Parts: sequence; C-alpha cells; structure tokens
Amino acid sequence: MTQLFDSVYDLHRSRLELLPQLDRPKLGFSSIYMPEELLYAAGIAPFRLTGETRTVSSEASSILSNNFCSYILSCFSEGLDEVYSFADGHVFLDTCDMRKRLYEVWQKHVGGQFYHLLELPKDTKPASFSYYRFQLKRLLGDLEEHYGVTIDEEALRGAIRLCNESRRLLRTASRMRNEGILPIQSMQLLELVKAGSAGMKEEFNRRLSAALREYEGVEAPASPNGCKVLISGSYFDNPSILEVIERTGARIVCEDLSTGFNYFAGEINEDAEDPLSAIADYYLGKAVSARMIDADRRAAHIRDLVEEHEIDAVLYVSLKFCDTNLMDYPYIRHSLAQQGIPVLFIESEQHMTNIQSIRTRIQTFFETRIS
Amino acid sequence: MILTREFKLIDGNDRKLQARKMRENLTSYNMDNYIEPSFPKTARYRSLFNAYYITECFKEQTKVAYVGEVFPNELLFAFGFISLNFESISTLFSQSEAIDMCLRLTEENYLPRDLCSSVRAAYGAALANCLPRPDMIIINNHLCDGLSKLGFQFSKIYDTVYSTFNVPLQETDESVAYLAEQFQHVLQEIEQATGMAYDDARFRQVIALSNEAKDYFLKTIDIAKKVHIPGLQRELYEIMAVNCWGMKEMVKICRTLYDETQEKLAAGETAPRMKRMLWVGLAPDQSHEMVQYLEHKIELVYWTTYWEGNLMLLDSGQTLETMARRSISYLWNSVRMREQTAYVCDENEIDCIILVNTWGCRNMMGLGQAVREMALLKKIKFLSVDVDIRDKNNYSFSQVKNRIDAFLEIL
Repeated sequence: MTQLFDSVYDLHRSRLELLPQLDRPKLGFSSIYMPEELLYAAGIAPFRLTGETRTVSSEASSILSNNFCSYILSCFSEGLDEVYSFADGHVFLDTCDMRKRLYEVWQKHVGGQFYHLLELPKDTKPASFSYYRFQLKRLLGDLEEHYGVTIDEEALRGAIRLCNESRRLLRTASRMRNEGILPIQSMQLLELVKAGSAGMKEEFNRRLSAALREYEGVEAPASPNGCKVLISGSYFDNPSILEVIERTGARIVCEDLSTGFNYFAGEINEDAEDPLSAIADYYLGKAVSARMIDADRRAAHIRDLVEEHEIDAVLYVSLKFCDTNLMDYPYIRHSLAQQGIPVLFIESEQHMTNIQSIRTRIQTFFETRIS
Repeated sequence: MILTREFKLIDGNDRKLQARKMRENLTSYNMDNYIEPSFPKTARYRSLFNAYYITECFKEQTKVAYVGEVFPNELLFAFGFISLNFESISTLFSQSEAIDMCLRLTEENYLPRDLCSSVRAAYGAALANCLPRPDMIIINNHLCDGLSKLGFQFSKIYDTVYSTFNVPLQETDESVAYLAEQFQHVLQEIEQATGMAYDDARFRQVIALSNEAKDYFLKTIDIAKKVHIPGLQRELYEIMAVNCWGMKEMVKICRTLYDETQEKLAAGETAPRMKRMLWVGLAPDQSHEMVQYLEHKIELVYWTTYWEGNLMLLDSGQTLETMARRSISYLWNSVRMREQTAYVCDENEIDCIILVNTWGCRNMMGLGQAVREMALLKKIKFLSVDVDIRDKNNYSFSQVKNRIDAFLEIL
C-alpha cells in the first residue's frame, strides 16, 4: 500500500523531470496565497518553488543580501542555476518585503517570458477584498493576453472544483494520519502537500485518492500516547527537526505551515455566483499568516487548532531573518501562554546541515513533557 | 519580564509615570558631539518645537497617535492629534545610552535580535514604559513588514484602538481610488475613536498649511541644489524628518529656513563647491560618528529629503487622491529607487553615492543593486557599507572608516 503513496510523493520528487514533459505552459509561484485556480483555468501548470535543490549560493547572497531568509535565497539560487528553465515565467506575491525583492531580481537575473506581481492586501477590510478581486482580474487579463486564451466562468469553476478536491484529499490524509490509520509521519504529510502544489493536480488527485482508498475501512488503533505537537511558523520542510521531535515520542498532529494545514485549509465556494469573488474571498479570508497586520486573527487561528487537536505543546519555527514571523513571536507566545500551552522557539535555516545545537533543546523540551 | 500575562505593561499605562521614566532614561543624552547649528534661528525654532511637541504628548488631555514615518499626518492634525512615529522614537533613543537598555529589554521579552534595530529600539522604548500612552495607532505597510507588525504590538501593549490601511504597490487609477477610500475610512475610525466629528473646514486649513510649509521647503531645496551653504542639506533633512506638514509651526520652521538661506546668499556666506555625496538609506542624527566624519570631508546630500513624496504638494480639490499618490510613492521598489535616485543625482550634481545598509533593513539591502546599477550607468562612484546606527553590536566604525577613507581617496 505504501507504493501508492510513493507514487504521490513521486509527483514532488520527480517534478523537475515530469513538469517539462507536460504539454502546457508552466509558471512557478512561491506563496500559497497564489490562486492556482486562475492558472489551471488558463491551461497552465502552476508549480511551487521549494528551494530544496540548492543551498544558498554566494551569487544569490551578493545580489540580495546575506541577511535574507534562506528560503528566498535558496529559491533564487535555484533560479540562477536554471533549475526551472522549463518554465515560462513566474507569478510572485507581495507576501513580504523579501519576496517583493525576489520578484525584481528574478525578473532581471533569471529571465522568462511571463512575470506578474500579484498584490495581496495586508488587512481584510471590505475595500481590500474588492481591490484583491481587481488584482485577480488583472492577472487573468495578463494571462489571457499573453497566452491568447479566454478564461471563462466555466473554466474557473472547473479549476475551483479541481483545487477543492485536492484540499479535501489532503485534509482526509491529515485526519487519517492523526487517527493512526495512515502510516505516515509529519515529513510525509509535508511531501503530500508539496506533491499537491507541483503543478499536476489532476494526477495528484487521482493518485492520492487511490492511495487513500486502500485504507478505507481500516480500523483506527487505540489512541496513541505521546505529547501532541503543533508546528507553526515560516516556510518549513526540515526533516531533521521533525525526526528529532518524533523520536522523542511526541506526535506532530498539526502543521500550521504553508507546507501543511494552511495549504489545504477550507474550500472555495463552488456555487458562488461570481467565481472570481469566491476565489478572492477564500484567499484573502484564509490569510492568517504572519504577513497580515492583525496578529489577533493568527493567534485565534492557532488557538482554535490547539483546541481542535488537543495540543500539548507548540513548536514555533522561524527562518532566520523572517521578519514577520520573528515579530509575531512575542505576541503568539503570550497568547498561547494564556491557554497554558508551552512554546519552543526555534530559529533555523532552510538547509540546516548541523542541528546538534538545537537537538538538545528539542529533546529536553519534549521529553520532559512526555515523562 | 516587562509585560504581564495579558501582554500589557506591568507598571501601568499612566502618562505621568511614562514622562518620568523618559526623563530618567534620557539623562545620558549624548552631548559630546554637539555641533553649532549653521542655521541658528531655524535650528532653535525646530528644537523648541520638538521639545514642545514631546512635552505635549505626555499631558493627559493631549490626543496622541502612533504612526509610521511617512503617514499622512494631515489626517490626524485635522482632529487635533499629535502624532509620534516609530522611526523617530528609535532615533531619539539612539542618541542616548538608553538605547542599550531598550535593545536588552526586547531580547528579554522574546523579540529576536535578527530584526532591524530601528524596530527593536522603538519596541524597547515601549517596554521601558518611556513613551506616552497613545489614544490611537494607525498601522499600514509603510515602510516595511517590521513596522507594520510593530504597530500592531503597540496597540496590544497599550490596549489602544488601531486603524489599518493598505498601501498598494503600483500607482494606477484603481489603486489610488482604493487608497483614497481607505483614508476616508481612517477618518471615520478617528471619529469613532475620539468622538469628534470630522470638520471639513479644519481639514482644508490643515492642507493649506501643509502646502504653505512645503512651498517654502521646495524653494529652499532649489537653492540647496545650486549652491553649497554649509549645513543646509542637513537642516533640510532634519525638517523633513519632523514631518509635521499641516501644523502652523511647520510653516514657521520652513519659512525661517528659507529666510535664513536668503540672508546667507545676500551676505555671500556660501562655500566653495565640495564633492557631493548622496547618502542613500537610513540616516542617523548629526552627532553620529559617521556623519561627522563625512561632513568634514564632503558635502552630504540626504536622499530621503528628495524622495518624490516629500516634494509633493496636495491638490486641495482632490486631497485624498493626491495624498494616496504621495503614499504610494513612498513604497519602495527597484524601478522607483533607480528613477528617484537618478533624479536626485542629476538635480544635485552628485559626485558619489554611499549606500548605507542598516542591519536588518531587507528593503535597502534588496534594492541596493538598483542604486548600484544606476550609479554605474551614470559613472558615479559608489560605495556600499553595512552599518547599524542603533545597535553597536552589529557595527564597527573603524572598519567602515577604512572603507570610507579608501573610497574618498579615489574620488
């Protein structure tokens, strides 16, 4: 049965070989607030930049700065090394200051035919929803003009259904993992999410759905013991840290990350009169990341997840120099303290080669909670 | 721990206490590097105004708002508010030994030190309870992520209402309309927060004062571009940093500088032209060792003074719309950075550029390339230095000085 899951992971692991074979244009993106629906509706394969294949290069650091977050620098290093040379271009969002700068240097140094900077407001007032919808309309217009296609309502509705299906499947996988039905751990769940954003959603849905079907009817084992952990913070995909946590006997049951729950949370209203407004409502409405001004929404979101999953402890991970997550930390820490939830703060790089320095902190923090 | 479990100041939110704490902490104000002002009347008036302004902030009846440096203060002045900006708070504390205490407090209260020290300094000043309790905080995405997050945390620390608006990146008719609509909403939120009704006549009066002051400012800038009058560029920068466009005192400050400049011109008190260096990036106060060192060798022109938004007049017929265009122009991107810097270089006949990367300022670090490219294109000598004008743990003047000396030699 694990072979079926391997076939899902493979969409991510082999994406650099699979994507060029697709007979459709490919566009990269770096933020989960990029509405993939618009690109699927235009017949484009949207894939997420992961920064996994390159560590930070000196060229990337010299063009931007050493004091940029390692996810941004790794993505840029991939671009400079032509890892994504098969892509037509990229759609960036103004998710944070560093991503705005990434958009500019990518255009100049990496090249490509299609570029777009999508603005996502930092608050959720009614005027901001309207403006964000206008921004989506602008992106649609640019796609139509560049690719000579017409993106009608039906195409948008089809793309919404496609992406909602992925979200439902990922939610099911996450639930079955937490119930002990699926033999996957946190890193595998993050890999499923990555596979879901690798630009091959139709195939992803087919494969994940087949893999999950194999576990239908499997009885959940008795509730496993262990400190239940929620991870929250910046872009995160560090297997070493996850392994250290899980080896202590703690169970990661919620990844409040762009590579986890936040990617597949909620759904877009498929029956909405105006699909573009429904997309705008979903993406701006679900924006609870640190980049938004109102950290109360984020704190409430984390508190809800803590209650829902009966969390015992939170691991707050921030990439070094990730200003928004670093700034949020004191407030989120206080908010969780009021709930009686202990928080371990880890500041790391995307490609950590030596985690010895934080291993002891993680072990001490979780082992004392388990005992 | 300075904050309670509820994220509030542990020793209360009383302005009398806060004024006392500010006085206690700023006793070690750095006067060693005091410089005799070149424009004594203007400097005296500006200093008096600053002192009066800060004193007023601590009075119980004063309405105080915290904002970012380039916030359109005219919106607040129309309601009789006094506004304090986070960047100026940082600068004020950086001039005293209290800065070390401020930065230490932030670390003790879980704010990681990889963040920009300007943001950390203002946060530390709040934790030290040295700042007046605000009646309102207005938060937006100027000028960086750190400042918008800081504004939110201030609202929690002081248990204060806050209003937000979002400045779009691009200037289009739609984005201007969107921002103007948000300003309208901010006005309504100020009304709700203060219980005061918006008074259009008063707002128009504020706009007229803003334009009157700016008019004198622009006329002085025109002179500064053409002749070298020692101290004038710095005084222009200081006035720009006061950012009280719309207050009658600002008119007086700007008019006084213009008059003093005219007097100096009439008296022939100009100096031979020196090499002109454009300072790009956050600038410290004039007593800072780097500024002092450079000003002895070269004429410093401060890039922020000439930023498009700082030179704009407001259209009284379409006030919120021009205010929106002004706000959008402050949001940095590489195109704006390249064009604006090129404009300043051309207008001021700049000979060289120093790009001052402040530790943790991701925008400046990311945009530095755009300035470098422009300098290359125009064959202007360019030097980039990494400094930290708040946190001395991140910066060593002796190292920077070596680079500056080598750079000056090649000019």
